[in-house]
Amino acid sequence: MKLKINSRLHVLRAEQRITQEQLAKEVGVTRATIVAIEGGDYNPSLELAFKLARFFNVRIEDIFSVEGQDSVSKSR
Amino acid sequence: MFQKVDSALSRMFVLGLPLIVLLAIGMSFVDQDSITTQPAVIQTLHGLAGLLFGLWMSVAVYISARLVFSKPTRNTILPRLVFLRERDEREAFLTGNATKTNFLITFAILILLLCLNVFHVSFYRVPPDQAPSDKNNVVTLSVDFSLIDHITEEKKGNATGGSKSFVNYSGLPISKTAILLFLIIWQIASYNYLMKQFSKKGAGIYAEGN
Repeated sequence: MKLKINSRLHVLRAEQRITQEQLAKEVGVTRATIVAIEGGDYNPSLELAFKLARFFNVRIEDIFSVEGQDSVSKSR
Repeated sequence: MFQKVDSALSRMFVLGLPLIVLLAIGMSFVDQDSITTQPAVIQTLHGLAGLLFGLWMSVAVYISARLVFSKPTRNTILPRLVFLRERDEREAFLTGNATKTNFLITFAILILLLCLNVFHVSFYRVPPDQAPSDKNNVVTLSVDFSLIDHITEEKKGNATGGSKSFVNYSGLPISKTAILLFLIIWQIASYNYLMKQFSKKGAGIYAEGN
């Protein structure tokens, strides 16, 4: 089963008043990648996830969460 | 050192292309057989054009060979030619997907072309008196699997026009079948070899994967 990853990147970005372009530059990717992550079209690598978490000074779980995580946990 | 030479020569190759086309167009108006009777200016221009074309051909052969055997040259020149972009991990991921699809489609096309090239079918009608039975419509199915180009010998004869030649190169002496077969085998072998190499290096490092 493919997991659906939800992103709170746009919320964190809005809170800190940072543009997609600025964030992209800070973490070393293109703006299109930030757009794709926020739109749920692309799941970032672990490396990029850590970079984003470090930039916002939060944990990775504060940015990304798995949709239907409870049902996955129960099935285990 | 090689990188700088390759870079300069590849620029020369690309920038020289329009000049070669212009020279070819210009020289097409000159009668090649009567070049010795033409004015001195035309003769000099003809000689210069020949020299430039010879130089450009040498550069083209050198660059082609370097593209095959030199990874840095290949990775610098070819991505620009095919507009391949890998600025970050997402683009590397997309490139991987596009390359996989392209690889499989190309592979399928090669198999189709090989089949179309190898199989021969002919339908014909024999006169009633020569027919082995009461049916005179004949279907012939055959497979032509020759790896050497049959027309090479004819090409050699035509190219020299009867005069004695010391060196005569007129393309690879291998058939279309051989080329298609080579490309099919190459695709399989190359893919599997590279997969092993990249697995050893670490599949997670996208930047190393090209």
